[in-house]
Amino acid sequence: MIRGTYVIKRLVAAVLSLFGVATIAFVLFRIVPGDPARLMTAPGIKAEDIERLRASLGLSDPLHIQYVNWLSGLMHLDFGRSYWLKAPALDVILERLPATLELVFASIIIATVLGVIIGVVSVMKAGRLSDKVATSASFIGFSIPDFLWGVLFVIIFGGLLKLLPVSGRIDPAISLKPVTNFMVIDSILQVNFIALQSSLTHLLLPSLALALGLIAIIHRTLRSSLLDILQEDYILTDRSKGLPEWYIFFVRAFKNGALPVLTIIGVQISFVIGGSVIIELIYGWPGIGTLSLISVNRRDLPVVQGIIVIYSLITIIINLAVDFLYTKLNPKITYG
Amino acid sequence: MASKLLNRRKAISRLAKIAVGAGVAAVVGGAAAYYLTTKLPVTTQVPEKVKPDRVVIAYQTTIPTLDPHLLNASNVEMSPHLAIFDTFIQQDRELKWQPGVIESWQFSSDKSRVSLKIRKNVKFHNGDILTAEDVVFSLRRLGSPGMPYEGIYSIMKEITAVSDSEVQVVVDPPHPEPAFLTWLIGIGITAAVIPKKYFEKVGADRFGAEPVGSGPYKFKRYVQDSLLELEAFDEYWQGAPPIRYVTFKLVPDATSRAAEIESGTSDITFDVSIADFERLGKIPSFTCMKQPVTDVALLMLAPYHPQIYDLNVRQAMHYAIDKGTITKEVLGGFGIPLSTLEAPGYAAYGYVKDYVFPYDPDKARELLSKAGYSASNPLKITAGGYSGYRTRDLQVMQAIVEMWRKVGIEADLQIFTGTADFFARMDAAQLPTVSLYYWSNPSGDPLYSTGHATWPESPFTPWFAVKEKIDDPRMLKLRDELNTRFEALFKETNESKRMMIAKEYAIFAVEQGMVIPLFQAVQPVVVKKDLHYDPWPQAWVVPQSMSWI
Repeated sequence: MIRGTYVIKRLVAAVLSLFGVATIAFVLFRIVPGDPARLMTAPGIKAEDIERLRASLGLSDPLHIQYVNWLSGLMHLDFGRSYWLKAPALDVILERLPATLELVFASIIIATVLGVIIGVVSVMKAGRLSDKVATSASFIGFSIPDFLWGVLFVIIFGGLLKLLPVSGRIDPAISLKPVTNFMVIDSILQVNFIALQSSLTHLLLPSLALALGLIAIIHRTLRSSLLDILQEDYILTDRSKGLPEWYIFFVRAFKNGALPVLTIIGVQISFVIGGSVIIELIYGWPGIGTLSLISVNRRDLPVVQGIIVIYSLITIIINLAVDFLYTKLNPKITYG
Repeated sequence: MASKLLNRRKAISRLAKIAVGAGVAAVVGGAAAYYLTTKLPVTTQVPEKVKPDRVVIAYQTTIPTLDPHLLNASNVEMSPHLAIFDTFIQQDRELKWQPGVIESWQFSSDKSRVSLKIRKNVKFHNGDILTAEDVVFSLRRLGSPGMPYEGIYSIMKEITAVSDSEVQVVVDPPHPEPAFLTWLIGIGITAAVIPKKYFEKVGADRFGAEPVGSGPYKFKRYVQDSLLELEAFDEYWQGAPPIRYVTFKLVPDATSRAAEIESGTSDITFDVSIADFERLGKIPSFTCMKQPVTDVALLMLAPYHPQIYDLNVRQAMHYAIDKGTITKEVLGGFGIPLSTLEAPGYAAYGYVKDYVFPYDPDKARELLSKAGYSASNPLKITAGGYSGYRTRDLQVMQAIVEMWRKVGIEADLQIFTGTADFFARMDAAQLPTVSLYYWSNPSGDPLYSTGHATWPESPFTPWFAVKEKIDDPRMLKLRDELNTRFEALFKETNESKRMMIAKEYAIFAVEQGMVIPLFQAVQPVVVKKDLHYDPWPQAWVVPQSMSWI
């Protein structure tokens, strides 16, 4: 159960966290070397031209003025204007956010489904060959970084086997009207099965690359948790009552065994989001990961700062959602 | 007996489960493989003997904006804009200026006025006719307050349409013709003619989202950071391009670009890794080409490190570098060794091509000895390079550091995190003693290739941050000499005299050692066998010059 006071406390904490993140984002990119105005020029430009450009971008203002402008803009959902794209930074970010969310959600779904299936099989066949194979596969999945899986998939499935596409979100020949900017959802809404198939096949490799590490973590956590729970007294009581094994496993044990998995997913989501940056670059995935790399290199401060705030907001929202789900899975848990 | 029966039953049950599981997996896997490999729409599947109407380019960079005047980018990033828009004049593969929308130009003798004749009957994609008004509007916009290249284009003080087909420009201060003409194409910005009426009607934001130009291709659709689709403009003044549809597919990762072309989903790509280039070169269905481009790798010495005040030291550093080995062994042939900053194809190259600064490690040791250094008392410096910014850039610097070590120079190698880091250190006068830099000069003119790369007043050289603080008499003398030479190059209006000045300046710059030219960059290009394409030295991707065989 979640009490109202808890919700209020979490919201206040979220606002304070965002304020802290916004401040760190502002300070960080004024400390690291790199003049955004300078990066926008070419030989032939004079020093006074660079200074004029700097002034037009607001970079000649004193730091405290820039900081106040940044915070007050934030409160009005104004992240400033992208130096390079000449558009409101928030619009630039929101245009690309669905691509990243689609990738992240697909990874989490794949990781959860496969991790749970492998975890359940591992528990049911604990100690046997299939359990050992699953455990070893987990280690491999976890040990190899996601970006390396990403490159391997490109080489194997894209280049050598020519089985799956390795860049973009959909086949260029398919024209899909952007409704939600989630390709899979837009394909379904427009009843375009060719677009749906194309968007799913484009989504498969990058989301799998991101998911592999998480599959391993979910598998290990669930296996460990379920093996413990299956030794609990109430399970032994259920068995002695003659309840079917499948009922004991999936109805009585699984729900409690899944709780640590939920916590793990909540914690790991921020790592999945972080990992998506390089995966987006490898797969030409037009999300905010790609945008963040380009913006950092170009010192496009409004966009970079905005992305940091958005990433934090996503993490905060997802963790709140996880807490909520927690109480639904186990009504005995009370927050507040 | 009963237990035997039970074991047999269990074994049969187990076998049955395995068989069923394997059967289901085989059916599902086979169906999935069949469906995915045969039902995927592949845009480049070609029926026999019918030329495709489309080309898919696995493009190596992003498209920051479709507004050509707001682009602040490398030459490669100008490519989509050069397909949609016409620049004021054109540049050919020999880097020579050619008539374009402006079909002729006339400079006054003192270069303070230019008369531009506009080509008649050039149409924009929306049907409007291109006139002097559009040229005036475009030039004025480029030099207007807030535009990224305001400082350059604002030298055009008065821009007037004297008729529908003639524009007069007052240039203040007067600039040499090549400098002016360079900016009628642009470096890192596309100096394009845009339609005044359309722009004023839709505004800047919508113009950037739905651009209209007069180029060979018209805009069809753009998916942010993903792809750009263009369609041939049938009324293009130079004739419609051979291929009807072009897709720039944005694939920033080199491995993915190689996989794109290998899988057949793209038809041409650029800047794959050397290993992938060599591997794809062995596949008969691809043509792999090496294209020298207008990009020179050089070492820049920072004039605030006392170790390099002695000319013997600077020259020793240059003599110690075996550029042939670097380009052959380290770069795998993706580099052409240079003795000056004038690369093959540049305007002044013909005047300096016989000049060679040789590899001579013995000479390097002799000069170091004159400067007071030896094997027991090596010269100690810092060196800056990149890792992953350009092809094998880290390996190039590591090879140079090793070559220096053999002659008695100990270089502590530092890695810049990116160009932002490099410029920040340059501005703060904190560059290492010597830094690797890539100097792009699509104009091919010595004013930019040698001039701006060595001129102490340029904010793109390490001199700029300390020009008022230098107190060593040798550096002061060198600074003044470089300033004098740059000014002479800038002011000379007679072209053959200007080339002679450029020749002497280029050789002087090298022999004074504040820049050490290394090599001209070579771009890897991979294209399907039945797609004809001659790459461009400006590193542009030019779909209008592609055709299916």
